[in-house]
Formats: sequence, structure tokens, C-alpha cells
Amino acid sequence: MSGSSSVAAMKKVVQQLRLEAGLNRVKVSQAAADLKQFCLQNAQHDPLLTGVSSSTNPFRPQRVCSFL
Amino acid sequence: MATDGLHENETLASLKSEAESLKGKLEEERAKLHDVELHQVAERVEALGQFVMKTRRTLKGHGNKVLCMDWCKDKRRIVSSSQDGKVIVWDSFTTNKEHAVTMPCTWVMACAYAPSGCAIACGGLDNKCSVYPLTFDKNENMAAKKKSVAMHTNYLSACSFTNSDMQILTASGDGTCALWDVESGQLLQSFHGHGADVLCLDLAPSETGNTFVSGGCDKKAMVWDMRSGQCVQAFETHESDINSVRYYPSGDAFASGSDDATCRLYDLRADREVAIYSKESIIFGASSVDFSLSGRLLFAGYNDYTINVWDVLKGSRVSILFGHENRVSTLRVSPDGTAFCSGSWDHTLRVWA
Repeated sequence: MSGSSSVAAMKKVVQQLRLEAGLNRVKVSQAAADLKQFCLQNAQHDPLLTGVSSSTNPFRPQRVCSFL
Repeated sequence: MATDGLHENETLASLKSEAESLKGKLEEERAKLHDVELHQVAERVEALGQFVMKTRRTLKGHGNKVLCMDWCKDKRRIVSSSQDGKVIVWDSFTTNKEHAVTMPCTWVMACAYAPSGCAIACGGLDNKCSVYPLTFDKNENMAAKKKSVAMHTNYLSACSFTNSDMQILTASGDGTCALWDVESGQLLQSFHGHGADVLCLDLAPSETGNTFVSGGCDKKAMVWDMRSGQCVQAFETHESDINSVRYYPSGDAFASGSDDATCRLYDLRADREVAIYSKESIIFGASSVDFSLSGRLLFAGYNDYTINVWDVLKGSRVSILFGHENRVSTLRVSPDGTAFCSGSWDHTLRVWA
């Protein structure tokens, strides 16, 4: 393998690492709190989580109507 | 000439040491912010109750392993593709097959529904991604209107339309991802950086902007800027191939499923892995993952034929679903979150709710 292509490849690696090193990061406690917040805020609108009743979930079997 | 060689060696060595020191710095920076674990933050959150999720529909018709599936935005139609070269569009409410096309290759590893619901895209061992307009005209042959859009130099592993029917994003065994214009077949952007086959990709939810995440056989998950082609973040904590990646509904994180038998959650703003979903008893690879609408549940299909349901916040498994008689190869939650569909090497698809 020619020397110049390894140098070119390494330059790209270094460039990429410099880019990633310059990122603005948030603490995990903050990020985790936001993930938790999102889950809780949207929990009510999550059919698989709340277990939507048969009448509103098209996949669940319909209950039979009976006239009293 | 001899002096040039010497100069190059010095440059290579200095670049290598700069790379090492940057990697060290990155690890340090990420570690500094690691002040708590996700499940600790979620300690006070109410635990989830028992889940009753059953197979509500079984879609039978493929003659061989189901490799991929996708939902239509209408929340009822599904497209699936198989090792036998067939791509089928189903009405999941009635289980009727609405369209079927035979591809010129076997192992159709990727398929996707267009946002309009009027077309599907698929590909695999043919190294291409082709778009088929869906027509209800009985006289029209679906295969006749086929349009070849993407060309890779190895198999197509994943494809997805962007926000419109006009652009497709592809991932390939050739180690690259690419963005294509459907009408002209023109390559709009290519994404280089993976060191091996790219196996999966997922587009960020439209509110979060133009990025997507990809996972590959190099154990890396990479986040890309679609406009510039630049990799903006990379994560390498899995111990084997990453088979599936999926964004968390808020767009601030993504989950991955791997042959190392774990699923992991990576937060993009903290720039690190924040949760691992694993158990000693789970030793087979996870092939596909998806979130429920609120992001609280993570559904993962495994090579041991089961589907595990994880509490994303607490890190614990809440349910294990049996039913498939071979590997689960693909899994997607429906657009309105009322159900999810799994496809398997047992030739069937199941809709669970």
C-alpha cells in the first residue's frame, strides 16, 4: 500500500475525530430527564402502552352487540 | 525521493498520535458528563403493569423467509419482502393480499412503503433499489412499471423514502449509504465512513431535521447530516454487528439491536450510550427494534424466535412474546401505534396488539 494513501486516510480519520471532539454535549442527568419527560407526557396517547380497548383498536376482536 | 518517504512516515506517525489523543479526549469528555444512569433517573417512575399482547392477525403467503416489512401511512397496509424474491402488499385488517410482484433476484432484504401510499421500494441481492407504483388496474402488470433507482456495488440491506415519494435513502453491503432522486435515478449524496457492510438505517423524525442513523457490521452506529454527507456522531459500544437502528420518537436518541444479544439506547445530546437492554438468558442476536409511540416500550425481535418488550426507562423486560416458529427478522410499530407487525423466517408475518 502506498504511503500517501495511508496519510490521506489518516487525515480523514483525524478530521472526523476533530469534528466529533468539538461537539456540545449535555449531561446524562439532563438528557435522561428529558427522555423520561417525553415518555410520561405522551404515555396517554400510546395505545400499546395503555392497552386500548377493543372498540377502538381495529386489530382487537370486536365485542358482540346484544339487544336487551 | 528517499527523503519524501521519511517525511511521509513522520506525517503518518504524527497523524496517528493525534488520532489517539483525540480519541482519548472524546472518551474523557463523554465520561465527564456521565453523572447518572437512565434507570436511576427513572426510579420513581411508576412500574408498568402486565401486558396482554397477542397475535391478532397472521399473514400467510410467502414461500420462504420474510426478510423485511414496512407499514403504509394509512395504518393498515403492509409491504413485505422475502427470500423467494416475492414482494407482497397486504391489507392487515382483512389479511388479503392486494398486490404481489416477483423480483428478478432472491433475498429481497429491504422494502419500504412510499409516504403517499402509491408506491413501494425494494431490493436485495440485485444490488439495486427499485420503485414500483401501486396500481389497482387488473390489466396492468406491476412489474412493467418498475423503476430502478439506486445502484450499489453490493447487496441492498435497507431502504427508506424520505418525507416524500421523491427521494430514497439506501444502505448497502458495499459499506455506504446513499440518497437518490427517484424520478431521475440520480445520486444526490453518498455517505462514507462505515468500515464494513451497512445493515440498517432510520430517518430522524421530521421535526428534528435532516439526519439519519445507520448501523453496520463494523459494530458502529453513525449519525449523518443528509445535506453535507458528513458523519456528525459515531457510537461504538456494541460487540457485534448492528442489525437494526430506530430513532426514539422525540428524535433525541436512538435504539439499536445487535448480534451481541443486546439492544442499546444512545442519547444524541449526551453523545453516549445511556442504557443496555440485556439478560443473561438472552444469548441470540436481536434482529430488529422499534419503539411504541411514547418511547416507553422497546419491542425487539430476536433470532431465538421471540419478541422481548423492554421498559426503555427502567431497563427491564416487561414481556416476552412467543408465536413465531423461526427467527424474527423484521419488526415495525404501526404509524398510529395501535399494533406492531413482525416478520419471520417461518414465512409469516404477525400483527400484535
